[in-house]
Amino acid sequence: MNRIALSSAGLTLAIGVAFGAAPQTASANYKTSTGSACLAYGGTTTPDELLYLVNGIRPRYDTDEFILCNFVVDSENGWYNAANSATLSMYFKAGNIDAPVSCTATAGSAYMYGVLTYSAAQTIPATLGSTLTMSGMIAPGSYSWAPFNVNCKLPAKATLARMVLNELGAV
Amino acid sequence: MSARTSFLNPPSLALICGCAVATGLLALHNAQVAPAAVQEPYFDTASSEPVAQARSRAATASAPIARAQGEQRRGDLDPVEIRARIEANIAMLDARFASEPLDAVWAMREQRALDDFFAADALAAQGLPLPDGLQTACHSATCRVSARFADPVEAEMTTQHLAMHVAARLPYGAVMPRALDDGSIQVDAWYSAARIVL
Repeated sequence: MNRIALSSAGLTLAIGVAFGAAPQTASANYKTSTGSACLAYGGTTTPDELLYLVNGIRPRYDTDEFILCNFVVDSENGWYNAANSATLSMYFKAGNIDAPVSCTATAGSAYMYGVLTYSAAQTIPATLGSTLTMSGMIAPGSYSWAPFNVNCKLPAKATLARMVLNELGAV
Repeated sequence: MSARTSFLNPPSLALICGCAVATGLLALHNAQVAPAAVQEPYFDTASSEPVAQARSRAATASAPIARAQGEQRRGDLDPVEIRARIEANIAMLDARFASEPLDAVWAMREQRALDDFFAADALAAQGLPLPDGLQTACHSATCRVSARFADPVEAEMTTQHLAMHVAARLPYGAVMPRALDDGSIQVDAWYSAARIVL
């Protein structure tokens, strides 16, 4: 009887300790969007030069185009250090030719504290897909309502299929 | 002791103590994982400070970021304060740039990339204007660009295209625009191989 009771107490204690010692779960806050949510950007790309598809966005013709994609970001906290920051992943699919893609993510506002930019570039081999990732993004001044956008150069035949923004930490 | 078993016997006491400790640890764990699961109005009308922000400020009081008491993080700042903050950022970025050692080979290569971008025909091909007062300098990890544009749209489009142009080797940037009295926009920008923190 005593042995059973003590075993029960030990088990209960062990469960408690296990829960108490469990590492704090890093909160992740993912926001997904299709490339067709993006807009024509710059002096050389017009809306008619882009194809807006269920599975993304791509140039209508055999030309390089520029796009601007906006993200909805919650206002829980500013992105202020590596543990409380954001990562953007952008999935591209090349057509029947190699696709040199480049993107610049912009955190912050020119009308507040200035902006920080995060860029990535790679050439995606013909017919293949790849992901551009910009990680550890913070906004100047820990600005909690900092807008967030990304510009991309979308080469001929290439499709921007999907974008995933992950706010990491308590932000 | 009577024939009836008392709940204060040693095994029962051990069980109760174990449960109490476990309950305490569970409560502590829950407090750490979910500190703010309370529904409440977004703005505290008494202080006009967003409640969520006040709460998060308290929750992150030990975080390395310095959060000045009462500092406005969400609403618009007045133009004087915006200007002061931008100029403080420029001074800080310039101090870092000045302390960066010079690597002639690296600097020449990146300078060439900037020159390619700002060539008149290259700008025209992208529908971008030729800026006034263009100055560029590169050290060993960072290039600094300074230029004046007729309006904010030209300034933004040029700096965004420039960031994409240098994306492969200078993926991190900081852009600080200032409106001048004549309505033009002075832009100071830093593009770097190293992460920029403000």
